[in-house]
Amino acid sequence: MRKQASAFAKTRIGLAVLVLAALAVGGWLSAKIFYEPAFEWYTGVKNGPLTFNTSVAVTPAEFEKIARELTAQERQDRAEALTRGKKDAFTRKVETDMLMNTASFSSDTGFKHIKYFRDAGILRYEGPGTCLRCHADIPVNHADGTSGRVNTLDDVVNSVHFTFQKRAAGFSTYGYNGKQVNAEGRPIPVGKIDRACGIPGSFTWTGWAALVKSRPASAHGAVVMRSEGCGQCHIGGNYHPATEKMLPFGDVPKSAKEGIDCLICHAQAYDMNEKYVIQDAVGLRWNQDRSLKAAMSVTKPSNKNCLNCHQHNFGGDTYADNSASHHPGYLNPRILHDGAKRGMPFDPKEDVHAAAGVQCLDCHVPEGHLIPRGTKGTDLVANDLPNKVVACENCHTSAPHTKNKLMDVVLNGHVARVACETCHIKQLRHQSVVLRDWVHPTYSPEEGIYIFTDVLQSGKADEGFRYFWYNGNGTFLANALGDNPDKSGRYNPLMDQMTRLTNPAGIEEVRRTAKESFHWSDKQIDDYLKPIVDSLSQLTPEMLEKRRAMIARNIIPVQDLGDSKIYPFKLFNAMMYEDMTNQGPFGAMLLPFDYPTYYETGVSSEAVRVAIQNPMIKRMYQYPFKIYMMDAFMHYFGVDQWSDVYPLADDGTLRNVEPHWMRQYGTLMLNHSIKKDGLLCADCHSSHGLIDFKALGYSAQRIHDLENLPEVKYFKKASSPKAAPVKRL
Amino acid sequence: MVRMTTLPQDPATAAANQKCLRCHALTTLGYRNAADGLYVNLSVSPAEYHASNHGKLACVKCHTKAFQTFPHSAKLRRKQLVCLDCHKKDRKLLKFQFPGILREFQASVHVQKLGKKFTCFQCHDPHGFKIHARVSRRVAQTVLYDNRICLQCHGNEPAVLLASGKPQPSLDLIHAWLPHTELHWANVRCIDCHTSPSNTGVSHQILPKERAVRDCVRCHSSNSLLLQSLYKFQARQERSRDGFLNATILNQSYVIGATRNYYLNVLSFVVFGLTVAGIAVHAGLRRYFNGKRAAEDEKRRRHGQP
Repeated sequence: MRKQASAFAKTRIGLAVLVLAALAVGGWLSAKIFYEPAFEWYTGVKNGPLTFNTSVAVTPAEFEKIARELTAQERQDRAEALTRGKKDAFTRKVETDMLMNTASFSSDTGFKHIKYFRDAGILRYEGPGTCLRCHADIPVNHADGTSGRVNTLDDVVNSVHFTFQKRAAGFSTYGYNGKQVNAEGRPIPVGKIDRACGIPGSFTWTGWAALVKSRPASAHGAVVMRSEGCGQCHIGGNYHPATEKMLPFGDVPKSAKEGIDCLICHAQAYDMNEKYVIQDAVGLRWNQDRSLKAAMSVTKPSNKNCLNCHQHNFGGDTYADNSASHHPGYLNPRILHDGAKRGMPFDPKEDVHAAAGVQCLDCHVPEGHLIPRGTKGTDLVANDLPNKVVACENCHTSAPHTKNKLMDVVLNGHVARVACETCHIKQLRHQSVVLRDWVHPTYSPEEGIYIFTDVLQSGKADEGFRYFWYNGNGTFLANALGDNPDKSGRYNPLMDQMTRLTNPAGIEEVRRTAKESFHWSDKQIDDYLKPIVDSLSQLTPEMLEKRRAMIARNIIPVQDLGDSKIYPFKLFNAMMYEDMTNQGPFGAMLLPFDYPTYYETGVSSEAVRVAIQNPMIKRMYQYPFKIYMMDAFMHYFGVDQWSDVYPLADDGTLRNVEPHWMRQYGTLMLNHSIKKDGLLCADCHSSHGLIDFKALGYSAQRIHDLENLPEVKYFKKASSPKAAPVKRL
Repeated sequence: MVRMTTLPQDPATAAANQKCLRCHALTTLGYRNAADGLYVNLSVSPAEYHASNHGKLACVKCHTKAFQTFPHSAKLRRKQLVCLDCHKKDRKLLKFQFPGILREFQASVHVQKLGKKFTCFQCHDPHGFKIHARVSRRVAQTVLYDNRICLQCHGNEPAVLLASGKPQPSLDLIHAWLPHTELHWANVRCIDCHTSPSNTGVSHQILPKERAVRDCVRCHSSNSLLLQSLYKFQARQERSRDGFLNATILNQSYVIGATRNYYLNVLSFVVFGLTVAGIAVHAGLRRYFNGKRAAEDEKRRRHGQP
């Protein structure tokens, strides 16, 4: 009897173990098999095998021809160096040409990968797989002096250049609730992937890759397809951003990893004309240059590589020396935008470091594929290495002025209170966009599409950029935080300096542009100007009171952290449609635009209606996404609770959606286009100086002292580019 | 605590100094010297200056009147001040024995190796200088203040490399032989082992490393070396406070490190007290019971019982 029972028990235990094991294996398998389809079903994103018709095999003879083309300049330089002694110019040319055609002279030169590929017999670039044949793992040097090796693919896939967001601490951003983003509690994914912004006017899911029908004047009524979307500057070649990475588990599918564009960052001969939107059976995505020629030109990323994308927000698309803009695409050319985010090109003509040949990575010293942005930042952009300092002082020391023996000491003295950029960026490019109106587009006959109206572009001090105290932290909507070191309470930018356009010339310019673009009456334009001149006028008295209290409770303590210095900040505001159900004292949820609808019809509200039908936007208004992300996101935003009332009613009309300007100007950091010669004393230390000391919260006595320094007369008066006296209201 | 030895500034001096401090209070005021590339710090913290021994002085008392005009001539940069300019003549300052300090300083390894490059100001910031060992009641604070002076350079690898052309060896490594290194650093000054004893207030003859004290018994003995250096002023103070005889007796019986601990002292008193009390109780009880037994014997005897 007992024996039987024990046998039975044994069988039962055995059975239980077996069932559990089967469940585990089954669960794992189904997770493997079903997770990806389930994820795609839930989010509406699509995945599929990614092929690029630029990936073509060449013959050995073609290989050598490409090699000769790639190395021509370098061989030319070497040959000329050897024939320099020849007196007769013609003889010199003949001998140089002979050397250029000498076999031994053309081998083993230039790009090292030519030899590697030749030796390995590589005649086709197939994507990351080709790179990983040799670079499966790479050495990494850390800031603390240690080094190690990392898996290259994992390193890239988890870098911000691929994920567009980070689900970890390390943001110099504070919510309007006073909490540092992701510093405590459950971290949420934050970064470009889910940050609504008025410059692109769309979200990454709704604006990833779009084909827009245009009827440019040059085509005489014929339709020309144009490419547009966030994906043009992304190293993934997929149909959507790396959405899977927003969850704490799971990974992007294998196909997405195979779509990574290694060459846009590493190939010197990368052809930006291959960056355009293509359509296949699965959907729309961005093409890339996978030619063997590009692969043969691989090096460490040069300035050219970084600027393939980043000159877009530095100098802008229309900056003359933005080489990517000159290669807009063989097919469906990319739409180039006039207004630049920052208007400060990184280019030898504009920046002293670029002119000196300084490379991006000299200052932004990477660790593997992780690239530091610097410890300071006002905006919600994720940072691979948030603790790694990128600062002028790293090279220049804290006593950077050495040339002028009369002034160096005094100039160095300023370093305690004034950032380098404040004097060494004197103006921005005039295409720098300050006010972008997405709600009232303007038709461009030249482009044959409707485009947003930049009612103010300016690179001038006070108009396009302004000076603020800054301790390295920003708010959830890109407002620089800091305080006058006297901590008198006079400086309160979120109630004052960042909520107003005070520059009369700027206001006049908005009036002129609006009149020209919209053909409105003076009364209409006056009403239009009201929220631009005073963005707080959009708030009800209750909201305003709530805002005042939240600033005192949550923001002032952050303003008083650390040491603040005076920095220049690009001003920015945008008029977009907002979900007013989710409104707080600092703004409401911005809604994205569907690019084709917007550009083709110019009906901005219709473009919103289309865009918010994107499954990802719908999920934002549902459980569990509401709890996973939106509630926390909204707390930072200064809204108590994320309302799940979807802004599209059942009858397809927009529900509680209104066009508004942001309730304060965004302030974007300016760090490039550094000039060798900075401002001089009198540029700021005068009653009409560039810096408005009153706006910086100085006392009346101190303002008087700062504007009437007896020492100023000893130094030269004003600096070279006529820093025009600033008139204030 | 450190006693304030300075008086508040008179209003005229304060106003004159304020003129200078308009610029010189900027924390980053300074320049890099073209000759050696080193940073010359021209910043003066007003709070620190006012609390220092020099705090009542007008800036131009030491820096010549030439500095009253702005901009200061670049030629003035080459002018080097010396402590002795003021401190040699003043009778009130005789007790500080500056000539003796100068002799020691010139014999120190720093000046021997680096020559004129090495000035008083390499160690002493005249704008923040406070006499410390002489007036401090807490030895630990003196240790902290003085060691920080050495670590300004010796805890700063690039500074040592620039000055001497040789890399700074790791302080932990070269002191690894010293048992309880950290404890020593918290309780004795670098200069207690690295100078030769002298009659000046604080010995300024920093010795080459070969001549530094390495013998434990030099300090850990009844006639400790530290009584001439680190505990010199404390011993003197205690003598004047507690009376010569008392202080001398107590001082001579000290073995540094064994009875300097307050709690250990208290504990030993408690143990001693308990021992005495134990003996007393024991004796008392014995006496009591002895007496009792004698009384009973007497009783039995009286009643005629065996």
